[in-house]
Amino acid sequence: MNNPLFCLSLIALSIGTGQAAIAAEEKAEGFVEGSSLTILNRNLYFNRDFRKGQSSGTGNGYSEEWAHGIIGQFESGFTEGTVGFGIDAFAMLGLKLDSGDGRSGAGGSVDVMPYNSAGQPEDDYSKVGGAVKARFMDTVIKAGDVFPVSPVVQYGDSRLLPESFRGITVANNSIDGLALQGGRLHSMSEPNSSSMRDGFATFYAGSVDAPWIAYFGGDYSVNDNVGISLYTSRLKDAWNQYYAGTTLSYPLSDDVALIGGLNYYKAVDEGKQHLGSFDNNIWSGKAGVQFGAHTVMVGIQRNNGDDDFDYLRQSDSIYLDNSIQYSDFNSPKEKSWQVRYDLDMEPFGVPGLSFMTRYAQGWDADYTNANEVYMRRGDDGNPLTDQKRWERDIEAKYVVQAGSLKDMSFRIRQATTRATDFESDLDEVRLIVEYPLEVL
Amino acid sequence: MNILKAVLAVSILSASSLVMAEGGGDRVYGRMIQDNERAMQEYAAARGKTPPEVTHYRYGMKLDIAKVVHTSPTGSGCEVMPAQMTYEDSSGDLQTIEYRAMGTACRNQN
Repeated sequence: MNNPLFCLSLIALSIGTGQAAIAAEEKAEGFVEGSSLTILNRNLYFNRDFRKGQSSGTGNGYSEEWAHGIIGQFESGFTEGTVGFGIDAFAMLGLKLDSGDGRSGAGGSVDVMPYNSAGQPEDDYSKVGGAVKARFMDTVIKAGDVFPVSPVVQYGDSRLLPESFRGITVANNSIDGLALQGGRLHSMSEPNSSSMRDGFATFYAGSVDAPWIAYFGGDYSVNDNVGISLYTSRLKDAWNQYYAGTTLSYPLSDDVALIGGLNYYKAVDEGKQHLGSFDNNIWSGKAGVQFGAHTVMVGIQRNNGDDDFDYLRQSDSIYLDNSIQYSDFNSPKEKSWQVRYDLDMEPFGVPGLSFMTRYAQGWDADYTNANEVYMRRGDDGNPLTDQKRWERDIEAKYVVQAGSLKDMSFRIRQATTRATDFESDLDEVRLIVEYPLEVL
Repeated sequence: MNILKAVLAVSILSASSLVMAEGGGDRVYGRMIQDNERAMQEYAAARGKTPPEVTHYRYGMKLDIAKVVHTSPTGSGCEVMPAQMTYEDSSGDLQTIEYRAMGTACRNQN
């Protein structure tokens, strides 16, 4: 599997057969007609500069990686008939461009490339997988390597190659405005892993001996202005999670709109309590106004729990408003607020260009009553209390509008965060250049 | 050498498939754009104005934007998608420009 040429030949093969098949058959909505093949080229540069003499694990307080990813994804349509069948398949390749000892590998903190037993980053790695799928009425079932999108299991895609899970998912859209989904997944594949069958791991506890995660829930659009979501998940022998959220938007005129939302999670220990015993809840709310090119938003968040609000490693299963580029503001008892400004340059005559900046501040984080898994202690051996932090993010995005590089996108993300003992002081820069290609 | 071969192979692949790239694209976003055009036609009709013609943005185009009427939402995804902006030009006529935008529904991605 760890062979780039094998990976490429798979992509090439898909292209070849796809073209041939299209020429042979001209049926609407069939297996072939409904097929798509996309190749996304992604170039990622990522560095973290640890301040205050703090070590990144590389020993010099600095992490840096530059790599190129090629993400080929094929999705078939469904065969005709009462029950339609199809397949999804992907072949992905990650290539190291610049990286090395002292900046990345086992001690690095940015986790772009995998590393070998000596702790050095690999030159390349690949991900190959797929799923079979069946459609009956408005229900689609997939079995294999899947990319779930929900507040309780959300695959992460903030590194070189996307994260995936292996298992079964079900989605149903029978009722207008209501999207139901669920699944049972028995392994995960983090962004820098070639194996599709790794065990589960969480951000704050590392590897957890859970045999599966199951989830179920739905999103309902009440009307054009209000959406409601309810979800639940069980990471067997670790947690039961319950999520409730709402999104609100209310246009005041053609060019002015109010936006808002609430998010709430409850997490309770489950079964063998591999992550200790806990009964936590955390919530966030946001309110903002969009006027023409400008959007201003304020968010507040509060963790009422005694432990960190934890979620699957490198996933985005945290739909909280103050979960931002580096910090999640999810420490025990932590309170936080955020202000965010978005600027779209299209109304100023520059289509495709946009900016974002935000500032967030957290305080009162307190580990006094944290369980043994999430406990953090100071140098004096006592649980950390009265912990504070802040983060500032700046982001610019541009999409090429025409020519042979049309749709190539450039995204620069910068973050600066400072914290008391419980977290890092660091400056971070990410440069992401993507070129999507729709082959079929 | 493997890397070199790989990059070469991909460049060739990409170049050859560029021809087809324009083909069946944007299936998902087609309806969104159609809805937006319909809404703007209704907007124009309600004000007794000529419905805006949709122009695709090209580099070097001078946009005569006197007042922005509406921009289509880009909150349905995190990838590159089509977007439209309808505006009044300096003579009061409605214009719609279609361009490419990055979706704003990106998760925290930390």
